[in-house]
Amino acid sequence: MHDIFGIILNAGVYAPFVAAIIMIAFWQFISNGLAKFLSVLSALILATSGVVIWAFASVNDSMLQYLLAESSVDSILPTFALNGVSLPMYLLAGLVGLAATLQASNAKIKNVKLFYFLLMIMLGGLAGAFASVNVVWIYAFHEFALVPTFIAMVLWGSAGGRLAAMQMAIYLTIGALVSLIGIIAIYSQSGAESFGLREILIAVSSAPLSAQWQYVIFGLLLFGLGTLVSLFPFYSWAPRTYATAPTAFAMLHAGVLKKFGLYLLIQLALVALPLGVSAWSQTMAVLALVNIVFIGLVTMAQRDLKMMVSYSSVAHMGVCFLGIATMSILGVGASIIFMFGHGLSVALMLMLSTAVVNRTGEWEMKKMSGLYKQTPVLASFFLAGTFASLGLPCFANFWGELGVFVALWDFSPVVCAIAATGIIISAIYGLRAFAAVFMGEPSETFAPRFSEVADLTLKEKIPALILVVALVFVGFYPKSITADINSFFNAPSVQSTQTK
Amino acid sequence: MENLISFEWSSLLPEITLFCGAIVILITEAFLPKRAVLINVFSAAVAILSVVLGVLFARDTVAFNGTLGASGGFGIFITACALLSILLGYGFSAKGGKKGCEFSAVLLISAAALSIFVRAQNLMLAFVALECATISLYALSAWNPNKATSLEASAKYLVNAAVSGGLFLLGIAFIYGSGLESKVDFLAYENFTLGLGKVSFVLGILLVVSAGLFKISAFPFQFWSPDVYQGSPTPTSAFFAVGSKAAGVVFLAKVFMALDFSAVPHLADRGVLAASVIAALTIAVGNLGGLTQTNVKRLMAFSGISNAGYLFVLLTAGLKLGSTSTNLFEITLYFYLAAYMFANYGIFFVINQFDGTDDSNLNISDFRGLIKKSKISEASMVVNLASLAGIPPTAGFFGKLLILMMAWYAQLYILMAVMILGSAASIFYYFSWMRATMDVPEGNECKFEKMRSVAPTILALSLATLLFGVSLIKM
Repeated sequence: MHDIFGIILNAGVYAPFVAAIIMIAFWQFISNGLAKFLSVLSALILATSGVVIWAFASVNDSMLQYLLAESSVDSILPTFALNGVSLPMYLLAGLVGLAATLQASNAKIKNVKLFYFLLMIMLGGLAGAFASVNVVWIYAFHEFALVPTFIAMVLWGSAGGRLAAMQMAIYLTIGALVSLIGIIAIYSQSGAESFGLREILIAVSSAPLSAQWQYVIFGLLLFGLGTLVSLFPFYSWAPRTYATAPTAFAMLHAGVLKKFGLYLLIQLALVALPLGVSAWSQTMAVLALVNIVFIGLVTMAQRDLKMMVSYSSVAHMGVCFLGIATMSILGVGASIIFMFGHGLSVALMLMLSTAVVNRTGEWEMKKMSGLYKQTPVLASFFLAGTFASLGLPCFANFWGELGVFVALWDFSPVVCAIAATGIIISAIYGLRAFAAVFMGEPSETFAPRFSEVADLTLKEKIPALILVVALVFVGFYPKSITADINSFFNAPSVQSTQTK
Repeated sequence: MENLISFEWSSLLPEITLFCGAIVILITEAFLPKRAVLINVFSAAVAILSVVLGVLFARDTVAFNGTLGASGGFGIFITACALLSILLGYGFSAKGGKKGCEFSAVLLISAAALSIFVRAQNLMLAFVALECATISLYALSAWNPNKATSLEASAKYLVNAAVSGGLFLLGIAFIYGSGLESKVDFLAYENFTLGLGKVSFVLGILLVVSAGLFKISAFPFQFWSPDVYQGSPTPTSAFFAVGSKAAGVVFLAKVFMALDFSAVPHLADRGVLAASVIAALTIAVGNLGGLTQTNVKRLMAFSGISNAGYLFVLLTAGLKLGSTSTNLFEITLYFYLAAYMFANYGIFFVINQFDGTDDSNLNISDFRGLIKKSKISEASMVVNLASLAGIPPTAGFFGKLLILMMAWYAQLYILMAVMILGSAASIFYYFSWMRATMDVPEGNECKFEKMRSVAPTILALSLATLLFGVSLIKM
């Protein structure tokens, strides 16, 4: 069965690239409509491949064991394989990618072909980053997104996008380069034969790195990758980027790309540097708490709807770091579920807040009250998205947050108690935003235009529905993802590095 | 018995071909003054022939009693640079620059001389070849004689290069003098190690290295490069930026690799420390200078300085590791230089399409709206600037990755940090430029004249930048 899933996986990763190459090669002959069709088609292939592998590949399948695939030395092309950690992320990239591509058709922009071309490059890079088994490829695929996002923000970003684009480029490059040093260090200190995850794992399970090196290298990775995940204190690029980038790019960036740093921490650092993680876990917990509490408070102070959503996504990243800091199977596993749920919910919220802003022409929440009467469907989706981000039961985020908090209790009850205030903070800003935008009577300035505000169109409902269905499905049936995650932790190779 | 015939002339065939080609071009031009295309095709043929001859005859041979080494990858590299600059020069004449094919001829001579400079196994030969190349470069930088900027650039280069030539010669005198007593020819690279115990020899080496620093525009000899790049005609600026700099880097690499410090460990630490300081300051000066720059050719010069800094990190690592890592060192060196060549020429070909022969005042803001004017040029700007900034999957990233790995092996952790900070700073000016190409034009930009004839070259360079790195990833 491995071969079939291998083909499906390759098809999924290459589909966006093929669409991009077709677009650039036949630029003159491809109409805007065709470009849109090609993009949606390839995003659909990617999403389908994720769903099929997730649904049908069994845990005992060789493909889902810990990255059994060697990174082939003969081939120039990367080798793709998935395991329990990368499968949820790959699925997330597919789902959010499909939603973002569908959402893009609502945007009124010039130069449509270039927009889809860049979006496909970014999407292919995301899928490739989570599916690759070689760290250099993982890193390179991740960076595919940087230049397209930069161009998109300059060409189609909202006010302030040019400045935010530069800020993002500089922060992300520093973060990426610092983590690159960490990756080089793991490779050279472990004496692995290549940059393949499997080779590195084999090397460290027979001869672990010294505690000193693990401490240094994990420090590099924590701050390098932490910058990419907007961990305090290097978070200031994130809210502005998400608020000003074109929505489709912001959805992919906040929903999927940002999970990359956490993904690499779990996939590489946790396995290769267990002593380093435990040495840094206190620091990591404190920084994560700052993310949750301090940035949570900053989020509460936001008046601009999109800035509020963007800041909330930064604040929620603290939960993932707390999960990793516990170093327990429950905590790390729950943090993966949370990454999955958060990716879907933040993409949903960014999409819906754009819908609200476009309809009302206002950014400030107070100026657009009472929308519920005009846009019941939009309001219900928005409420679902808000509940999901709060971590209410029935949504995927709930299981993530619950698991992290349970694991935190064993780690440190004090940290757990402080982190729990984050739930209250996010309930305050989330519900207050919903109340401000949708409840009450329209304000005086807004009342004359009130009747012109229309509800979600079908083109907007479909992507929103995809995201909500995925959130609710995992919310009711978390085992569909936890089974894969368990297989990762139960793999003999991972166990052997953890016990040493 | 040894006579002129008994030397291994075949080893010198690539350079002889280039020289002869140059002479044929000069003679042909007297009779066919209007056939620029023909002569350019001829120079391309000469260049390709020279590369083929180099591959056939000059590999793994040490000729002329050990004074001339093998023609490695550098022969191919410098000939490619010369070819690309000749192409640029053709576009330059086409848009109203000085007509005539002396440009191609002098460029071929300069390439041949630089090739010998790098192949030399003896400092005396290296010096003579370097001077031959430098004199050609004076002429090339004054190639726009009606513009004061070009003449100024040439004069500036003349003065600075004369100083560096003087330093080189003084160094040679010291080195030669230190061997007189023991009757050892310390000018030969193979005897370097013996001389390390003598103060005068070390002083001489320092002076020779300073001349190399001038060539690659590294700190503290980087002052000339922004002015000279700005004033020179674009084809020459490109050759300065890539060909001449690469020659200096490879020359320094050879000198460094010839120094074996195992007998004098206390000198090794000082040497590495000095090299590290130079590398760090070069990176800092290049990137800090680039931050405030809006003139594109000056910006390319500062970009060149910072790249010289990154390459000097590699040289420092090579100096520290010695002969233990020769293989990876050479791969890294040539990979980085090739990536640098693709990206630089990719950008210079775009610069060369702006109207007028005097582009010394071309500003970043003149690039506004490029995205609407030429898609291929825009793609080249995005890909090649990303490569210079070191963003995957472009070749520039893999070059930096290799240098960082070498620096890691050599335990140059502080230099790695400097390199990362420098790269992060460089994002600002490279991406500002990239952003400008996508901005809405305001109408006062310099006119952009799309040249269809160079589109395939630009496309090839951009594709090379994009795909070259991937070939390395299997390591």
